[in-house]
Amino acid sequence: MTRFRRLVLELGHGATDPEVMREAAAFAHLLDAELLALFVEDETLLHASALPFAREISPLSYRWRPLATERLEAELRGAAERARQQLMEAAGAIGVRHGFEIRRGDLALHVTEICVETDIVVVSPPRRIGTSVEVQRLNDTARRSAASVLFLPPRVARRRGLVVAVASRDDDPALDVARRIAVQEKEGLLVLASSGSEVGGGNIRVLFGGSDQDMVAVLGDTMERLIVLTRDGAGNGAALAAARGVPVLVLEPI
Amino acid sequence: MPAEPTPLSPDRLYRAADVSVLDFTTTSELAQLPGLIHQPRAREAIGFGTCISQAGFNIFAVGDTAGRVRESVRLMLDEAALGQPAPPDWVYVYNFSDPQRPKALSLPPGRAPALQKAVHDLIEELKVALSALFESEDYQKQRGALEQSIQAKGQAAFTALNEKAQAKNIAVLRTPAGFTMAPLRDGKIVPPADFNAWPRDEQLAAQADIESLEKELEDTLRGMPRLEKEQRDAVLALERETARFAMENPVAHLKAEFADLPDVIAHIDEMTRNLLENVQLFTAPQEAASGALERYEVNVMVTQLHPDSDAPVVEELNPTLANLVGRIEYLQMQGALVTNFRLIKAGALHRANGGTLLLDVRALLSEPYSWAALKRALTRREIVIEDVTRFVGLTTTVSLEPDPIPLNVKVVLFGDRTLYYMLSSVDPDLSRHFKVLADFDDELERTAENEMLIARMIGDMVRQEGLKPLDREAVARVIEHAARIADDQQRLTLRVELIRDLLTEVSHWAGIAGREVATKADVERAVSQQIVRASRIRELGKSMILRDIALIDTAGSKVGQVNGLSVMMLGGYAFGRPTRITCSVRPGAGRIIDIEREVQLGGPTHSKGVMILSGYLAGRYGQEMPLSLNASLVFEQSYGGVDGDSASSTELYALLSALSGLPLRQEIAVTGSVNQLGVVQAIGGANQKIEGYFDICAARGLTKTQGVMIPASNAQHLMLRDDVVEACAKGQFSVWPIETIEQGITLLTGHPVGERSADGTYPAGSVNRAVTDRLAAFAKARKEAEAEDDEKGKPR
Repeated sequence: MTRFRRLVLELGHGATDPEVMREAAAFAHLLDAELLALFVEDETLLHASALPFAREISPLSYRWRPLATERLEAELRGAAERARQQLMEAAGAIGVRHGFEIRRGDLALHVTEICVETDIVVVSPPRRIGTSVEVQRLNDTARRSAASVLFLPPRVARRRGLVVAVASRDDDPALDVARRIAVQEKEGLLVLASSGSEVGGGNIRVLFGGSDQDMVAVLGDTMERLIVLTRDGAGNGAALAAARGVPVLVLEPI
Repeated sequence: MPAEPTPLSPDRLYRAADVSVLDFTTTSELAQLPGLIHQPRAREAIGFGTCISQAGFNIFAVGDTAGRVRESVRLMLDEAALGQPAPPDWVYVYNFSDPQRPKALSLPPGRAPALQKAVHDLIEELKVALSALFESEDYQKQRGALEQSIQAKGQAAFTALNEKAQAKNIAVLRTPAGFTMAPLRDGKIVPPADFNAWPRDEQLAAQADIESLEKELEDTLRGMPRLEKEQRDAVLALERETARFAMENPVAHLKAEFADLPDVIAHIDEMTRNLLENVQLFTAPQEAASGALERYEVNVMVTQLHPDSDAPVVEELNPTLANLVGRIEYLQMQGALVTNFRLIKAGALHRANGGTLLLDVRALLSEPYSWAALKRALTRREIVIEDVTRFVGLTTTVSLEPDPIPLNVKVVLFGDRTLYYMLSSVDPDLSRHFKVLADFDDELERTAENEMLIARMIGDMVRQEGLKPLDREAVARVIEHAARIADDQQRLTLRVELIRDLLTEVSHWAGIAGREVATKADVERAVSQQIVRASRIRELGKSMILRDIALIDTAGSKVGQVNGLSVMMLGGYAFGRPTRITCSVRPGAGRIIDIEREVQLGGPTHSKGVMILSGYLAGRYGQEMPLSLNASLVFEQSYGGVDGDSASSTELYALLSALSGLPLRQEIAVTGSVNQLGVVQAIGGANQKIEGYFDICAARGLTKTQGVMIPASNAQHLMLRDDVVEACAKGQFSVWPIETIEQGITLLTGHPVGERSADGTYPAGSVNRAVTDRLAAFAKARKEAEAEDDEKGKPR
C-alpha cells in the first residue's frame, strides 16, 4: 500500500497564500504526512539585481525604483519569515508535523533533488499576476520528479463528498489511495474505470478516454471532494482540478 | 364630688369569643372564603384603578407589613385581568440601515416565536441550500468559466508581454515586491560578470530594450486592478443571481405566513436584500459566517403563550434598573466587550406591558435609579432601555440604542403607609403617576359575623399551609388573640401574617401533643411560647425590679412619687414595665421643669404632656394668685429616650402630691394622658402596661390593694391575660377606669379632692386645700424674697 511521508510545498510564486497553506496542511493531515515548506531564493533574481540599470516596479504604486541587491536579499528574508509564520499557523492549527527549509539557487534543481517517491509536491494555480510561467515551471519540475503531485484548484468548491479514483486495474495505486482516504474520512468511493478494465465491485463508472475533458464529462453532477489518479501522460491534473474545483492527486505509476 | 372609681369587673377585662356563633366542629368543615376578607375600601380603589385607562391612574396600595397586602392585591389584580385581551408580542430585529438602533416590531399575541422560528429556519435552510448550490457542478462550471475568462485576459496580457520580451532576449521577473527585467542569453539570465564583459553597444542595446518594455509592463500592471474588480463583480453578480433564485421560494413562504403584518413584511424584504448583498456569508467558513448570520435572527422580547391569554400580571421582586426596563448584555471577545440586538433582554415593564406590573415600593426605592426610571417610563409612555453603567460613566463601549417600545401598563405599588406618606411629601411626581390610593384596613369591627369571617380565614390558612385543623374552641381562642393583637376588645386584626404564624405554631404543638385536631390548649401554648421566646429583655427588667436595682414600690405611700407605666417594643414584641416618677417643688416663677427634656431624653409629645400640666395648674389654682412654684419632674432610673404623653396624668399626680404633701399609694400604678381640664384620656398599650405591673406585684405577692389606674376610655381595649383576669376576679388585683384627675388623686391619696366654695376656698383636709395652701405659701415666700432683693438693688 502506498504510504506518503511528506507534502512538499514550494513557497515562491504565490504559494504563500494562506488559503494554499491551509489546503496543503489539511491534505497533509489527511495523509498523516509531514508538510515541508520549501522557500527557494531565486538566484536569477539576485543576478538581475546586480546589473547597473536594474530596477523594479511595484504593482501597488506603479512606481519604478532601483533594485538593490541588499534590499532584495532583505526582502527575500522577510518573505521567508512571513512564510514560516504562516506555515506554523496553518499547520499548528490542525496539529500537522511541519518543516521549513530555505534554499538558494534554481527551483527546479532543488525540488528534483529533495523529492522522493514517498513525497507529494503541491502545485497551486497562479495566485499572483505574472507568475504563470513560474508555476508552469514548477508543474513541469514536479512531473519530472519521483514524487506524486497534488494539484490544487483555484478555489476549493467543497470539502466533503465522494473520493474519486481513476483506475483501470485493481492494483492501481490510485485505487488504493482513494479507498484508504474514503474509509478514513467516511466518504463514498467512486471509481472511474476505462471500458474493459479489470476493476471490479463497488461504485464504478465507465470512462471512455482518459483526457481531462472525458473525466469532467463522466463526473457530471458528482459532488466529489478529491480525485486520485495515476499519471499516464494523458490527463492534466491542473486543468482537471480547475474544472472540478477539487484537488487532484496524481500518483506516479508503479 | 367625683364618684369613687370602682374596679372593672372580670368580664370587662377580656372579651371572650362567642362560641355559639361558631357553627362548626373543626375548621375542616368551613367553606373557603370567596376572596379578600373585608377591605371594601381597598377593593373598590383597586377595582377603580384597574378599570380606568387614562395615564397616571396607577395604584398605590398601602397597609401594614403583616397585612399581606401583596397577596391581597395580587389576588384582586388576577381577578381583574381575567378576560382582558392579551397584549401584543414584541421582538427586536436587526436594523439594516442603522445597526446601532435595533428595530422593535409588534406582532399579535403569541406570534413572535413563530416569526423567530420561521426566520431561523429560513437561514438554516439557506445555509444548506446555498452551500449546496455553490458547490454544485453547474455553479462551479459557471464560476470557473467566468473566472478563467477574466484571468485569461490578465494572463494573456502578461504572456504577450513575456513573448515580446523574450523576442528581445529580455526576461520579466517577479521580485518579492514587484517586477523587474533582465537580459537573457541562451534562455538564462545573464550574470552581472558576463554582462559587464559584453561590448558596450550590446549593453546599451539591451538596456534600451528593457527601457522600451518597462512602459508596457507598467501599462499591463495598471490594467490588472480593473480586471480583478471585473472578476469580483462578476462573481458577486453570479452569486447573487444564484442565491436570488434559491431564496425565492423560502422567502415567499415566510412572507405568506406573515402577510397580515406590514412591518414584518417590510423587515423580511430588507432582510432579503441584505442577504443578497452579503451572500458570500454562505460561502465563507462556517465559524466566520455564523456570527454574521446572527443578524438575521429575531430576538423575542415578550410573547404571550396563547393568543387568547389574559392580560399579564407581573410581579418583579428585584426591581433593579435592569430588571425593570431591560438591559443590554455584552460578550467578551478578544478582550473587548461587544453586543448586538440579540443580547437585548426584556425587563418587567416589557413583560407587564399591556397588563399590570406589581412592585414592592420598599424594594423599588432601595434600588438606585429604578424609581426615577419608572417615572420616566410612565411619563414618556414608552420603555427605553437604560444602561446604569453609562449613567455613572463606567463604560465607553459602543452600545445599542434600541427602538423604544410603547408602554401601556398599570403599575401597582404596595408597601407601608409610612413609605407612601414619606414619598408623597418629598416627591411631587407621586401624585402625578399614582392617583389611586388603595388603603388596606389593618383591623375590622368585632362582630359575630366578622368573627365567623376570621374563622373561615383561619380555615383557609390551615388548608393552604397544610396545617392541622383547629376545633371550635381553638378557633375562638385565635379570634381572641386577633383582638389582643388589635389591642381592642371591639376590633379584630387583619394582620394575617401574624395569625398565619400563630397557626403554624399551633399545628406544631398539636403535633407534639399527638393531636390531629388542634385545641385551645395548643393555641394557649403557642401564644405563651411566642411570649417566652421574645421575653428575655422583659425578664431582665423584671428581675432588676425584684432585686431592688430598679426601684419600684408596690406597697406603702410616698409624697411626690408614683408608679408610671411604659411600653417597650423590641423586635415586634411589646411589653409593659413600671417606672418610678417623682416630683419636687419649691418657690419659683411658675415653671415646671421636665428633666427628661432638659437632658434631651424626652420626645416632643412627652414635653407637650408636661406643658399641659402647667395649663392644668394655672386653670385650677392660678386664677387668683400667680403660680409661684418651680417643679421638677423625672422618670427615675430611665436612661433611654421617653416619648408619648401617656404618663402625663401620672406626672400630674406626683406634682399634686408634692404640692399638697399628701402621700400616694405605691401599690397603684398609673397610666393615661390628661388634658388641661383634668380629663384623663386614652393611651396605647393598656394591656401590656397592666400585665407588666401585675407581673411585679404577683412576684412579690398580691395584696388585694394593688392595681392599675387606666383611662376609662381604655377599658374597651382590654384583652388581658388569663392570670390577670383571674386575680381580678378573686379581688387580688384591680383595674380602675379613671375619667378625671380628681377621681385618680382621690384614689391615690385617700383624701377627697375638695369642692371650691363660694368664697374660693376648699374644705380642710381636701387635696385642693392642701395644694392651694402650699401655693399661697410659695407666693408669699417669693414676694418676700423679691422685696428683699429690691431693697438690695438686685435685678429680678
